[in-house]
Parts: sequence; structure tokens; C-alpha cells
Amino acid sequence: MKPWTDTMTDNKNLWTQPWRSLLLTALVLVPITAQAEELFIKAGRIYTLDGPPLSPGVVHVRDGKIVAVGPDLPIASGSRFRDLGSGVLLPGFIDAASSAGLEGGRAESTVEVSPRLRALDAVDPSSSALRRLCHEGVTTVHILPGTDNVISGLSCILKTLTDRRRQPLRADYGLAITTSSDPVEGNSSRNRPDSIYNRQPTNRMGVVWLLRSEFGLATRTSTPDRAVLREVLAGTRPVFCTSRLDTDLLAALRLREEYPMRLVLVGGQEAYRVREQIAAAGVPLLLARVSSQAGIGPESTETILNLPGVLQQAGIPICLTGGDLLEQARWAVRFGLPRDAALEAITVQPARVLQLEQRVGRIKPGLDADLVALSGDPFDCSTRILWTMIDGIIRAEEP
Amino acid sequence: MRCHSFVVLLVLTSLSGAWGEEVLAIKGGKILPVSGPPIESGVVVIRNGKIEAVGKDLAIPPDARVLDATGKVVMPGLIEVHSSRGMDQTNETNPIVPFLSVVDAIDPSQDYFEECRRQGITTAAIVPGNNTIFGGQAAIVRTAGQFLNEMLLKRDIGMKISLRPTGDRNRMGQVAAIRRELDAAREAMTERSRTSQAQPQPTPDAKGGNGSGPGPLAESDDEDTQQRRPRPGGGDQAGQETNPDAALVRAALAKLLKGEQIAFIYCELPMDVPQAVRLVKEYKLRGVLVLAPACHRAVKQVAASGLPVVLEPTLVLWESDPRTGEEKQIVLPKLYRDAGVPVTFTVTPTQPAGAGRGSGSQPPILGTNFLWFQAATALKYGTPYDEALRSITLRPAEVLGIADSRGSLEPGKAADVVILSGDPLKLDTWVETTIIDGRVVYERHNDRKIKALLKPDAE
Repeated sequence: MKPWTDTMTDNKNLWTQPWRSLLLTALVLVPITAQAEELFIKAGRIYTLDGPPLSPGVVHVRDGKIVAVGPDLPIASGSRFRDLGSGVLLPGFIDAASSAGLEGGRAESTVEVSPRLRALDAVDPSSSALRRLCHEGVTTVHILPGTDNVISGLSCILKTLTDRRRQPLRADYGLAITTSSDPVEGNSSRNRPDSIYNRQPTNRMGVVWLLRSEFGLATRTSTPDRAVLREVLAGTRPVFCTSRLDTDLLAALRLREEYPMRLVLVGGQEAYRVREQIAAAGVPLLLARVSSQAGIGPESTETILNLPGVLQQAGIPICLTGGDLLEQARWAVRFGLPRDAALEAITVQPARVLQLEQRVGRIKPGLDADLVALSGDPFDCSTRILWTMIDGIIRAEEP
Repeated sequence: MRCHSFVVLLVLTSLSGAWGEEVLAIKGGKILPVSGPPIESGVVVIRNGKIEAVGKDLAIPPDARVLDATGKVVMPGLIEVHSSRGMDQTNETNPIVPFLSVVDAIDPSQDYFEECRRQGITTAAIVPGNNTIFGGQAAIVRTAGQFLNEMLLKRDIGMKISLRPTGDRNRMGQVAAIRRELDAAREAMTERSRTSQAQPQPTPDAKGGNGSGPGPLAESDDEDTQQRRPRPGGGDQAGQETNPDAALVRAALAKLLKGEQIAFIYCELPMDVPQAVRLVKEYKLRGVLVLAPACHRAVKQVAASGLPVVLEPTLVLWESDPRTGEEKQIVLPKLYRDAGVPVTFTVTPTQPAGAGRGSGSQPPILGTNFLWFQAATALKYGTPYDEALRSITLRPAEVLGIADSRGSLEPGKAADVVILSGDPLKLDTWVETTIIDGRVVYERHNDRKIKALLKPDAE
């Protein structure tokens, strides 16, 4: 695992001072000169997600930001120009629930409650999982710790491939919790009560009871761990709750009624059964990737093919998550999700849920120049991803 | 409820008869015969389960039931060249069982067959065993029928030979076991032909101290008498010298050695490919290579062998260079095409669930569940359209040796026809009607399951 800081600073004994500074300046210079350039990209069609699509359209990029978007921009002399021909330009995709880059275990399964565990501490920024996401058009990724315990820790938001010296978009963002049976797995009540091998919870009710008691304690006492929970109750830190079965989804909604919090549901394989309740609560849902074993998800959930379409129609803000986002959007459209809703579900909708609407998710002046170029119609299954641009630099390109 | 049982009764009565007695005419659709150029608003005439005529402006027989396919696409039924689904229980424990037959395990009520009809797959080769050495006799079946006799097209067409180590074997042990059995079968064959040439009534203990039976037996290849000498043959467990199945094993493998059957050789790693090619050459097998994704590194050997190829569901993969960390996308249909290897596809993973090499690897995307999507992926990465269509129809028929009767829309061939709402390789296209041997076996407007999966409150 490589640390977030530049790796070279760790090897002080290997690099003499003049060498180091020389190398560092070289490293600093290359990206900056690349970013300072004016770049114009012309495409046959641009889905800005900030109004109707432009066909054709031009995007003006400077210093890693979008400067202007329009059907026909004057192209400044001396600037770089890329013409995609009949190609299509989209905002970079946002995977709002991922475990990409988390190395060496996803949660601290020896304790039930670990709210200060940071996903960021275990993310390898050069992991192949993040690079692949970038190749798939994902530019921003929300990395959640796993569901092996009840309150598992803090998530982080990063660009999938970027300059190492850049700070993550959000170092410690939301709190990951679950109302699933995952933390129960392997726990049993058969041991002697005083055994150190005894672990709670041992059933679904136990999971929710632990959540309730932790939030209850947080209102009365303060420890560093509970400070995190207090932030949740104050509404300053969002909660990402993994719930798949209809009962678990309802349990999460009940918890939210008892302890007001900015709740985001994750998973939602059976959400179609309780869609009215979720819609009434106004809670967004990060839909887990549909497995190739149609109809059966984790925990033997009974899901349906048109889950995204049904939830969208019920008025629930949905995001598609878990990799292969464009592919997922295409299948969602086949089964009934409207095309514009499918594009929103992998761009602007996750940006809203992650409170990054002013940074990413649309092609709009002032936002990061995170763009995906396609060879044609995004919903045609023979359309390929040509390249992925993050902060004005093409980070992945079709061979 | 009453309505439901009525439907079941209707289905039962309609299926219990012989295949396709009806005269059908499909008119108005765009016909993709695969064996020839597309025909705009053509006609397909079907009589007695066979295609009578395909063309434009054909006279529709007066006794025909007319299916209007205006605005739709008509093509031959898809063929899955290799599947290990559709069985009520798979044998993945006894390693050397070439004498078992999959027909004894095929369960017509399996979801797999229903899904096949929904996808327009009309024919499938069910090949048992992948975690075995010799998995058992494969069969080609129609994907519709109440009982096996209705489904069965051809039994005992071949068997699986897996080069992936099974049980606690290593690769050396796996290959040694394959060779030991094939050698034993070959030896028994030559001995038998020698003794039958020498005299019609061979004396016991004649050559090699080997007893031979009282005259050649018609079916059993007089193997039973050779059991006196300890012989290999499934005798895998330590300490077990003779195997009561040894004679059966040899008899079953004899068909493979005579080239009467297909040897589906599963290669897990690139290193398995030359091994497979060696086996095919040495034992003169009718080999078909079933290739795991990693085998693309042996693409030159595959191309040189000229053997037919079946690709596992994962067609696009990423490989990272261990030194540079550089990610490389590998597109199998393109890679094999560039090497001049024609391929066929399967939607059945040969890896048992959760046995993937890389831990934490995600389940494949939904598309790998669909045979047409595999062809669409080939198309996406540069395979010409006709070629992509061929890889799921006529080519698998050729690989299975049934191209004379299936795989394209031609007069005289079996009437396996699919009517689609549009281009078969587009994501928004649905199979409207599936016809097997002239009988309608699937209609989308009657598909209750797909309705429930699309609209949860449809019932």
C-alpha cells in the first residue's frame, strides 16, 4: 500500500537533496503545464446534464476546470483542439458506493462499532480497481467501509486517477452503518456468556438495537467515537446505511424517524416492495449493481429486473453504483428506466447525494473538467468509451 | 387460480403432441437467414416442423397459420454450443465417469430451458462435468419439452475432458490420469481387434496373459472379461486396485478414440492449450477447445491447432502489468479474430460459483447471461455483423455437427425460428416468438415471469 503523500519523500536516504528537489520540480511542472493549456473539445453531441443536450457542442477547458460550454464556441488561437466527430461527450461518471481501492479487508470485524475507522487509511490510490473504474468512465468514487460490523466507519470521496499530491475530495465524509444481517455472520450465542469469543449481535434485531443504543448514548455522553455520532444527529454528517431486504429498509427508515439524520440508503435490492415509504421519507437510494445471477442478490434478496425504473417512477432519487456504470445504465434503460434518468443516475444524481454538485456531475462552467468521450449513442451496446478526462487531463484512453 | 390451471392444461395438451404438425407462414419481417443475405419483408414457410421455403414474395399456403412479423426480424434459433446447466444435479465429484449420460440428469423443468426460450436459444449441447476428468456423455437437446424424449436431438455426442486439476491432484496428476485412461482404452481396442483378427474363438490367456471372452460381444466390446488383471479405470482412490467401472470407462472412451464423439477439452490456463493440442494429435480426438479467459495468451497455439473454440462468458477483461501497474484491456473476440480463430460463445460459467482466482472480483455484468450479448460484444470490438450473428447460430451448429439440419434458415432444415422486435444485437430488442421444429414454444405477450420482473404489481 502506498501512502497518500508522494512516495519519494519516504525514501530520504535513497535520494540526495539536490536529486530530490530536481525530481520533484520535474513532477510538479509536467501536470501544471498540461493544465495551463487552453483546450477545446468538439463533439457530435454533448449531454451536459444541465439542460437539453447540445448537438453538436464545444467544451472549453482551462486549468482543469470547465470554462464554457456551447453549441459553437470561438476557438482561441494556440489552444489545443480535439474533435470527436460524431462522438458523444458526457460528464465523468460518479460511483457513489464502491469498495474500489480498499486494500486488506473492508471493515474492523472484531468490534461492532468503529465510527472513527477511516476508509481513506486503507485506500491504495494506485490500486488496479481505481484504474479500471477510470477506464470505465468513472471519475469520482465514494469509497465506503464494509458491512461486517454495525457501525463500520467513515467514507471518503476521491477522483479515480489524479495527481498524488491533490487532496481527496472528502477525506472523512459519511458514516457507514448497516441494517443487514452481515454483522451477524459468524456470531453465535452458543458460547459461554463470559467468553471473549462472544460477539454481538446474533440476529437482525440485535443489529438495529445496537444502532439505536449507540445513537441513544451519543445524545447523553461524549467520547471521541460518539462525537462522530453526534455530528450525524446534528445533521452535519450523512449516514450511508446498507439495507437490502424490505424489512431492513424499513428498519433504517424507523431509525431515521427516531434519530433525525441525513440518511442515504445503500443496496436496496428489495426496495420496490417499500418504495412508497422510501419515497415519502425523501431518502435517496444508491442501488447495488445487478448481479448476473438475475433475481437473486446477497442475502437471497428477491430483486426485479426493472428495479431502477420502478423506483424512479415512485419518485425516489436513485444512483447506480458498483462499477460498470454505463453498462448498468444501458440495462436499466432496457428494463424500463427513461434514458435521461439513467444518465442522471450515474452523474448529477450521485453528485447531489454526495453534496458535490458544485464540483462534479455536470458539464457546466466552473465545475471540474471531468469528461467521458464515447464513440456514439451512450445507450447503444456497441458504443465504446474513448477516453476519460479528470481535472482536464486524459487519464485513461482506449488502446 | 382456475384460470391458471387452465393455462397449464392448455400448455400440457399443446406440448404433448409430436413436434410441429402445423403449417406456419411467417410474413412481413426482415429475414436474417445467416446462410445468405438479409431479405426485407420476406416469408418463411414451415411445414411438418421443417422449413419449406424462405424468400420474398412467396405464395402463402392456404392451410397455413400466418404469423405477421411486419416490422420485426426473423432469424434462426440461437445455439448454445456448450452448457453445463439444465441438469437436476451435476456430477462434479466422481472424476472418471465417461460412461454416465447427461440424458439421465436433464430436467426439462429447469429455469435454464425457460430462459433459453426467452432468449431465443432453441438448441443447446449439455456437457456435464468441469471439475472432473471425464465428465460423462453430452447430449444435444431442444430447449422445450415436457419430458426428455421430446427434447432430445442427439445423445452421446461427446464428453468433457478437463485439464484443470480436480480433487487434490496437481496438473501432472490430472494429465497422467487422462493419459492412463485413454491408453488403457486404446490398448483394449487394439487387443480386441488383434484377437478378433486372429481367430473368431480366441483361447483364454493367449497373449499377454490376458483373458478374452467367448467371442466378441455385440455391445460390451468384450471388456468385462479383461477385469481379471488390475487395470486403471477410475481406480483413483489409493489402495483400490480394480474398479468395477473400468470396462465401462474403456468402452466409453473407445468412442472418443474412434473419433465418433467430440472431446470438449477445457483449458483453464494458457499452459493447458498445448497440452490439449498434444492430446488431440496423439489420440486423434475430435477436439473442441473450451477456453477460460486467461488462455488468450496461447492464442497462437490455438490458431495453429485449427480446433474449434468455445469462449467462457467473460469476454472483456483487465490485466495489470505487475511491474508498471499499467492496466491493459483484453478483448477476447477481437484478439481471437485478429489471430484468425473463429469462436463460439457460452453463457454458462465453467468456473463454479465463487471459485474465481482473484478474490473480491465482482460478478460479471448482466450481459454475459445472454448469448446475443456475447455476439454484440464481438460486434462492438470490430467483428463484422454477419460474422457475429454466425457465431451464435451456424457456427455452433457446425461445431456440434448438426449444421445440416440447424443453424440457418434454409429449406429442408428444422424450423427453429426466432421472431424479434428488432435487430438481434441491439439492447432494446426483445424476443417476441420462439419456434422449435415448427412449434411455437415462447411468446413474449404470454411471458408472465418477465412481466412480473418488469412490473412488480402486474399480477
